[in-house]
Amino acid sequence: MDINLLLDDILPRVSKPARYIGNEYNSIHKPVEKTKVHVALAFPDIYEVGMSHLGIKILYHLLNEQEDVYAERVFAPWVDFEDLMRKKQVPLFSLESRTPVKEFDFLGFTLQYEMSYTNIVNMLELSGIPIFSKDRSDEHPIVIAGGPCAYNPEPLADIIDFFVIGEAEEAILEIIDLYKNFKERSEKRRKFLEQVACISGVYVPSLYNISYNDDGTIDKFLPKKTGIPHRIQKRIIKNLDEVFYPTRFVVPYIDIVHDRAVLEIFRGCTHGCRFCQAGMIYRPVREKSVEHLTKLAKDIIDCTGYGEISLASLSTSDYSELKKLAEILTDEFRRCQVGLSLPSLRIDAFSIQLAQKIQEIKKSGLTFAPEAGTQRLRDVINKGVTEEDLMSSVRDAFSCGWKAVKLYFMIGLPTETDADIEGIANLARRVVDVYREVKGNTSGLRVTVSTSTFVPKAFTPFQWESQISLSEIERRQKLLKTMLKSKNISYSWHDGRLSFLEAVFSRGDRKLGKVLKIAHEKGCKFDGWNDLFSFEKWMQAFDEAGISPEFYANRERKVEEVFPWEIIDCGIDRRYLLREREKSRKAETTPDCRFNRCHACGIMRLKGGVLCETQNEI
Amino acid sequence: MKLRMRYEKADPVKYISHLDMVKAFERAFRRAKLPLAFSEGFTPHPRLTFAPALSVGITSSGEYMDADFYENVPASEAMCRLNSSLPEGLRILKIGIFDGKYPLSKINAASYSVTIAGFLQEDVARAAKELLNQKQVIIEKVLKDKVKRVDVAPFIHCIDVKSGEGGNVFLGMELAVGQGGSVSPDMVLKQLERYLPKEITVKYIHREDLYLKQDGLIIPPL
Repeated sequence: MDINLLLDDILPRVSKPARYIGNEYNSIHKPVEKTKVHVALAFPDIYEVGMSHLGIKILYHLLNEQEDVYAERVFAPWVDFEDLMRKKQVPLFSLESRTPVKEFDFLGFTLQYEMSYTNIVNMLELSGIPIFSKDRSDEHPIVIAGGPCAYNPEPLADIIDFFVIGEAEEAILEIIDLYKNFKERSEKRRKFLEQVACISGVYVPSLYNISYNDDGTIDKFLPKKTGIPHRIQKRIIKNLDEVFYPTRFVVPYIDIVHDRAVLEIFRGCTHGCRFCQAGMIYRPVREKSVEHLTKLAKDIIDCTGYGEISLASLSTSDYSELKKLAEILTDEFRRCQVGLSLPSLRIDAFSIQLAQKIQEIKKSGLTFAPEAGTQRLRDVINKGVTEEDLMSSVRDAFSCGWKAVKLYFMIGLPTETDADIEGIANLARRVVDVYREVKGNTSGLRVTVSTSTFVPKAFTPFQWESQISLSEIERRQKLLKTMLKSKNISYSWHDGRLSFLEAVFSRGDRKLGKVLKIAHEKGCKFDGWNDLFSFEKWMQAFDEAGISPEFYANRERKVEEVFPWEIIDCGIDRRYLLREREKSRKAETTPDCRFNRCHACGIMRLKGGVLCETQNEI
Repeated sequence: MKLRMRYEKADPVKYISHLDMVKAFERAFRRAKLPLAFSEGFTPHPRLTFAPALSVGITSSGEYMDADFYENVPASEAMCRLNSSLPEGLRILKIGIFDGKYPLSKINAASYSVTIAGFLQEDVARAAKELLNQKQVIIEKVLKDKVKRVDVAPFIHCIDVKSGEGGNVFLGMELAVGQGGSVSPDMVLKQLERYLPKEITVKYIHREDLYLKQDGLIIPPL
């Protein structure tokens, strides 16, 4: 069967056919038969979402730098294309060489979001690869995964052959080298999995036995063989100036979610917001130098022709030489009309000046994330921002001409009461007042309040907490809605049912693999897409699997409970998380350790001698 | 300084829309380090002007664009540098100075080559003749949420039917494009089906050229 011929028939009949044609500028083509290891890098969402993700781009170029390795991209086909694929019996294929995914050596998934898990199952099925690892044989690709959701790999433990935990730039090459030897000797898949488990950062779930307590919680993880690590420590890159970073990025033809050049400026964050998983798992903070970034930026623009370059990190304002970097890049690119964009800026007087100067943020919108409505609750979550900070930033922004402000909050945070919900409404109203003070009236002002629901995440001080029940989520959303009746304020909220499922999977165990399979059979896919999400099907799937989702989402954990994700060592000390939890109960804050003393989060213990910026260990 | 270019949009990129193609050109100019001019204002746009857009899924060897530069560039050098920076499927075929030429917005005709399968040449020729004999050819164009009925008979200039390779039938068409009214080759094929016993299987549609047709004369843009 010739995929190319079938495509000629299918492409004119689907929306956005350019998603499937590949061949973009800088995409890499190699003769398949001359490469030793063939890797399919898969993203479990559509092209526009997957192509906006930095991690998969780094791995794509890093792997293709190796002469005998060929890495290709695979995305989830949209439903119209999938229907035709199934009708014409076209298997899932790679974008570059249009090789069926089933013929690859590796199939690697990026795990960005729990609600993309059904797409993983669907993509395996479309490829003709058994969904569970135990059913795969030597002829099938080895299915691997990494990314932030891999920090709790357990819900996918029966599906993924092995996970790579942490920053994969070094580990992936070690894995490929091991695989080359294995392939040359034509050894069994089983043997490879046992060997790869000894590479630092690799977790092979099938090599562990798990025993459970009577209440359904985990008793312990036990390696099935000697020599298999008891805990898997995450990988980190010591020096970001020396690590590989691509410059010849693939330039998509179609408008993708983030359609611009991306320059990663640092990794990690030390603010210590207690709800934030990224702030814990990506530690320690490591910056790239201004000199290195300047050179990279020029090379990227030369190679891609992008009209915009965006600085990427968890919090742009924390880059210690942001002003210098922004000035150099603005000067460098003025002539060729390349704009600089600074996402996730902490909005303060400095960043507003900066934004004015580089004309980056359009005056149509400015986003603030106070996360909680009262100072008490902001102290509980350790979000170090005060009402005064917010009001003075908003005042500056309004004086500079901004007319629209977005305010992001979470509802359902631990200890939240109705008074905190009211605090959200009060903050929004105060923003309107400030506008009136600055402008004399409120004409043209738009304040958008947006809430998501708190999802307790693994490896955060809130990993022991319960999520509020679905009915309580809906009650609080309604309550806030009635409080926000003003012509200048609009309110939007994230579907509580999705947050509930996120809470199940973000702290789930491997029993959930069964639920995923049933949900997929019922047709669940693209769950993050409103029009395709079916909560009813999900609930039926839990029911049929005999699994209670509330056990995962709405149960407060005992202090001593062994968590499914604790097979992973992300470098953060459990005792630190507990101390932070205790402090949260008392609404006590913990200052940023970059500008204060060390709070002994544990990251200094990570092998490799990485130094935190804070030297004064307690 | 303005340059006019004739370019092709070939197989791999025929599925990208006109707007996406404009962006692909902008990026190629930047990679080629050509001094492309931009509009003033808060969101500057590249000063590129295009001939009437090509439908998605159709290849062409007769597309045109005018590019405005803030510095003089020799035409041959611009073509060479651009061609080494364009993605596969887009290629500049010819280049010339803009001065003295009519604006691209005046283009009003396009020639197409269409290959279809499953018919005898005589049957298609008879159907084409019947279609061309109609005083009115009403089609329904969907514009946003409204359906508009348009008479496209004056927009179908000619349909030339020949036998092609492998039992295929080959149609050469000249159709109107641009602001004065237009009809696309697939719309014409849909109309042609009314005089044929079964649905048409389209093998290939290619736009050969765009030009200004005035008093029966073809005036090429470049």
